[in-house]
Amino acid sequence: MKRMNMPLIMGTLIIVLLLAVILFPEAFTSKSPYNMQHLIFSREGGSLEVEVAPHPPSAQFILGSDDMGRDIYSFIIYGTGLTILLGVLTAIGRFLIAVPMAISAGFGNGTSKTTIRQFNILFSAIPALLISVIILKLDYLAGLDKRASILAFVTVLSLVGWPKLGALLMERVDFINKQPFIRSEVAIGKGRIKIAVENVFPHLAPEMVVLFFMEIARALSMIMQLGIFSVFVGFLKIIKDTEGGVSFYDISFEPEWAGMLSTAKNFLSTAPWAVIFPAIAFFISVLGFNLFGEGLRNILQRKDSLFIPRVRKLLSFDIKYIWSSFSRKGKAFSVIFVVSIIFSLSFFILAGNGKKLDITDVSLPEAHTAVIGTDEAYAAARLISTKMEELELTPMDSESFIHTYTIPTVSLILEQKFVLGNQDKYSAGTDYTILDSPDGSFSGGIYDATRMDLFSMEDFSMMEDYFVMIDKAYYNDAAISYFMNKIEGSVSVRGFILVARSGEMHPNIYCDRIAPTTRVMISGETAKDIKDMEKPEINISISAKTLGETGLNVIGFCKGMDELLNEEVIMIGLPFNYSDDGEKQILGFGIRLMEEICKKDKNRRSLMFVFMDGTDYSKLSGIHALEADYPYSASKTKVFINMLDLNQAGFDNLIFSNLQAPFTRQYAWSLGRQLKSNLEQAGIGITEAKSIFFGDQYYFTDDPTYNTMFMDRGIATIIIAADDEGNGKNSIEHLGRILVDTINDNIY
Amino acid sequence: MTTSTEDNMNSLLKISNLQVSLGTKYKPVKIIRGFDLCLEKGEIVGVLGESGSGKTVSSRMIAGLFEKDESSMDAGEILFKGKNLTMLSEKEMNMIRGREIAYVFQDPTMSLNPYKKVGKQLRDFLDTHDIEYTSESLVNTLKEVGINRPETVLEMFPFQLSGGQNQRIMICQAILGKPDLLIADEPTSSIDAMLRKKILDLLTDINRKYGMAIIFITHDFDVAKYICDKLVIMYGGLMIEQGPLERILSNPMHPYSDELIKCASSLDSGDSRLYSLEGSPLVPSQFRDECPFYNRCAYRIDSCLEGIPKMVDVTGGSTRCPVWAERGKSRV
Amino acid sequence: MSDPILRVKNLSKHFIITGSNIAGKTIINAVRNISFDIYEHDSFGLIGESGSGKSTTANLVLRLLEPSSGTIEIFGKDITWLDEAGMRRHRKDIQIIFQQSGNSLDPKMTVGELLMEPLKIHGIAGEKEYDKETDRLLEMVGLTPKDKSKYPSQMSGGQNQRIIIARAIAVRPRIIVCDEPVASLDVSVQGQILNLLMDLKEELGLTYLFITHDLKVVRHICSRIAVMYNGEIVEMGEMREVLEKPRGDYTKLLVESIL
Repeated sequence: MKRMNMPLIMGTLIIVLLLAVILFPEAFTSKSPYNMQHLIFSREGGSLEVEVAPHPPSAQFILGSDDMGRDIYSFIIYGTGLTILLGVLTAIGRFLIAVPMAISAGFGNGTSKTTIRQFNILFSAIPALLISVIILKLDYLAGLDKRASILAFVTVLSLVGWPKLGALLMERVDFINKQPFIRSEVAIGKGRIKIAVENVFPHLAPEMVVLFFMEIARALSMIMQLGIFSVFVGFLKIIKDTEGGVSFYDISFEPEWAGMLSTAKNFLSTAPWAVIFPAIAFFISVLGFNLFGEGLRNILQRKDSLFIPRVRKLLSFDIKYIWSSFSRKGKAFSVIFVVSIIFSLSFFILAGNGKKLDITDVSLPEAHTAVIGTDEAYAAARLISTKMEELELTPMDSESFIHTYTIPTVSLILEQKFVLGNQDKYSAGTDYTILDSPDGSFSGGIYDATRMDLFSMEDFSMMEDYFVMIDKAYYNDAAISYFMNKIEGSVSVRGFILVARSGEMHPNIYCDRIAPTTRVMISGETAKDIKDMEKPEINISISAKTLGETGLNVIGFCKGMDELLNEEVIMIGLPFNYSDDGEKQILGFGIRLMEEICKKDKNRRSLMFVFMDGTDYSKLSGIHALEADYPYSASKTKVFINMLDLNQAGFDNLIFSNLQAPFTRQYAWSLGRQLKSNLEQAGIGITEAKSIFFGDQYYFTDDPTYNTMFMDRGIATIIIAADDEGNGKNSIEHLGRILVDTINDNIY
Repeated sequence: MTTSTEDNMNSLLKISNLQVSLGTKYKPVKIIRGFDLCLEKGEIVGVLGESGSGKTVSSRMIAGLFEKDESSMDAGEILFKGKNLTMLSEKEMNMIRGREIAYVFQDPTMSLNPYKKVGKQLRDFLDTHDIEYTSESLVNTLKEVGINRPETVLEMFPFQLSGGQNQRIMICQAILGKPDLLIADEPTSSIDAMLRKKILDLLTDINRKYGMAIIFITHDFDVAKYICDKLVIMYGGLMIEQGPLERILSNPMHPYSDELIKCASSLDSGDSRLYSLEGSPLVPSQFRDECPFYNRCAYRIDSCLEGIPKMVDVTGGSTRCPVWAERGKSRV
Repeated sequence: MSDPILRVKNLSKHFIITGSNIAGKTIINAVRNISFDIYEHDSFGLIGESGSGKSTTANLVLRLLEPSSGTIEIFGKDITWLDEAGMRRHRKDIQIIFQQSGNSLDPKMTVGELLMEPLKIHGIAGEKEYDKETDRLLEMVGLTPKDKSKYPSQMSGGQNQRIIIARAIAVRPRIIVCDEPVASLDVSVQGQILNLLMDLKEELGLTYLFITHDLKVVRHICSRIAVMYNGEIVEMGEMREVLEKPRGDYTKLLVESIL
């Protein structure tokens, strides 16, 4: 009877199971690890029973729940990937340090030998566990985001763990070097490096393979121990304001076994299941990797194993030739190169691909502008809604993707002219802004009323046939409107020139056509020009077109894959009006973004895409209509990504703010942080949106529409807008890729 | 040679048809396929064989030196003074080992504790087996085995002594218990030729003096020739010939014995060309149910392939070559 | 007589063993000031007990160990202080046949690979001739080409010893140091190997430095011998003379010890 290699069979079974769990977690549990059910209500004998988490194992929670009401079983299932990844990366890290050290030490390099020895002495004096706890508990490391945290973890665990491995390998190399056959290789005249590559390394290889799996097991048990000390990846410190004061929690929202141990250890006496099951998971996988290593040892170190000859063949084929063709400098360089490739590769695997979001092939409307209330805007909205249909998004009410809202009557300025004296140097938006005017050309002298006390004036006859200039700085809007009505009621004037308050000047493509005469706002500089003139004469001509009375919000709903999470919604707000080609690209960007995010069946939560009308004029913006008649549950809308002010295809910096996505909004907070760090990593600069701390919330002063969703609806908001400074070295394509990756990767 | 039942009863050691496998029960490898031995008091029997012949395993089996789970006795019995050793418990076996059967290993460091002074080790051994001794008798025995300054050596650690000295101490320990049987497993192969002769002489002396029977395991024909009365030659896990030394030397009754003697004497001679036997000895993985020597034999006939040949009695011993026993030594 | 092919002059080697205590440095003089010459086609025996320094001498001559003092010349060229790379070029001329033991050949290389190595390293044959050349070598040492795909562990001790010999003669050396080439072999195989060594010597015109503890072997192989004791050569001369009329006490003891 042939002897079965029991360790290998058992080890393989466990590892295959782990792999299956990592690759197809949804096959093992239908529950989301992120779902919290703090309270369970049940009706028993007419009375309502309320059970508070942690819940013991039951039909609903197979292995019980933790103190936040999360299902232990699904947390373990979904945590497998990250936990094992940590173990594997740590083992790789340790090997990367230990193997070169051990081989050079085995060949008599004193420095390496001493380094290995001294580090071993160091770590036998101070336990590696203690050092890791101290380092990883540092505030800086504890506060990192997921990816950086993994990197920090792996680095620290590799640094404290490699000496033991190094010593083992060094001994092994030493042992191989002392074998008689090495002497006979020297005797036939083989060089040192050749012996290392063709004889020593192949004989070391089986040991290395075995040790690799053993090392994963060792790393895992270290990770488990660290978990007990509240050190784990995906570390979040939740500060909860209670009446008694502030309490701190070490809570992991990232499913990972060590984190579970850390949270649950406080409940050991009341909820032992929350500790026992993750510990068992650790135990099984540690056992699995150990058994697998042991089993491999049985195979690889069997006399008739062909592993060593194969390794040799592999090495002699490539490395020998490549190696010998390098110069000494080249050799050092190539080592660095290979190591950095390995590192960056592993980084990219974590970071996702760095490709841009290509928006060139999105078919856009032909019209050059699409302003609210125009047919072009309707065409653009139709385009978006067709796209949504193609992507199988669902409309919010069963009828249509397009939601209408009524806007005040405004006109789109088609042509405007402002001539002072005979100077035609003034430009719209910066020097003057026509607020309200009938069509036509109007000219006349200017009556400077800026130094007058308009409240006490009764006789306005000297203003007859003049443009009246009023300084807004002295009065509020209501007062000015009162004056204008009063003056027009008593005499006939040509129009009003309002000197803007500091910072009030804004470009405007809209105007009203309500007032009987022209109202134009001018800047302080223009006002100075007027005052310097002896007999100021002005000519204003304007033609405008009154817009329709309807705004259009296009809203599409993309259902999430996770049955327990797809009630929760991420809302993405985008503009769709455009008045130049740059802005038109934003529309393309919005459509492509929607395509990219929705076509990946990766989204656990539902997504709501809202393309809003009138975003370039606060008064017309569709956000008000959306807020007033919000089509979904506000409490289930986890975050609103507000990109309504994204009005440039190229930019240096983005205006970004996650201030309205605070700690208490866990999902929005983590997404905001992730997004911010990803933007920074991609080299996109960030300017914080101007804000004041008002009450207990941040309030944005630049644009009142920024605040609407958070202040009025309580929906956490992340603001992304283009900053018009700089020369546009970054593009929306950049931003798009980051958005897609972040939203898809963020699994909280 | 014909042996009556009465003779058997009087023999010190009688092994018949010993078959042993080594390795775990999942993957046993048959090492010994047939080994018989009859040893009288005071005899020196040499077990001569090359690597893989099974000589060491058979001797260790007699002393019960294998753990239960690493060996299995497939057949045969070992009768020592009429007791079947294979039936004894570990405890009973311990009483016999050391006291009645002593074993000297090839490598003395294997059986001496390097961290215990020589004197202490010897006294502990004697105490364990309830053997009476005085300091004087201890010193005398050490002198007997050729240790020059016994008092000093008793206060030394094994690693401070040479291999030859350690081997003498082992022999000293073996004979202190005045055993009836001493099994010496290649006691001279790890020491230098000059000491070899002395150790062999010492063993012969002890044999004469105490009437102690010795089983001498060796691969070296010269050594066997020097010390033994009787010879058992092994090949491929089988005893292939046994008989008095003189007879085997003058008239080997198995082709292998014949070749072996020719090889050895060719080395002794001054011939420029050595007599050589082609091929190499069998290893356990090559064991098959045929004459083990078939491949290298100049006298082989087809019937040699029909199962393992049985031992055939011849004048002065027995042989496993029925061809020579029946037809005489002539080439076919 | 012509110039010696191998000349060893005042060669010494001491090992320094550092003990556990601070002052615990022990110096072991393994080889003390030995000199000998070996002439072409000669077979020079170096005999002695274990620890006499004969194996150390073999390793020194091959520069597998660094000598402490003295000189080693082959073909009149001083190789004592050549660096590793310099020595590698001379390894072609002087080869060693080790005692066969479990691991004297890389257990994970096939016989073919093992034999190809010296050919590659010293560029003995063109790449296309490797196969032919290894076949030839195998036949020379009494093995067959079909053994090429086997691993050393699949072959017997005697066959392994033949491969070691084949590897040594592959580079067509002129001197071969034989370090106890038959000590671990069975009696029935020893003769084969010794005969092979003698045949090869004739065929290839080799010169042997033959190291052994076995005086019986010496008788068959060597023409001149040196007896080593405690790191020193205590007696040297024609083989027959030394063995039949030993002068030194130690040599006498040694000769008497033959069974």
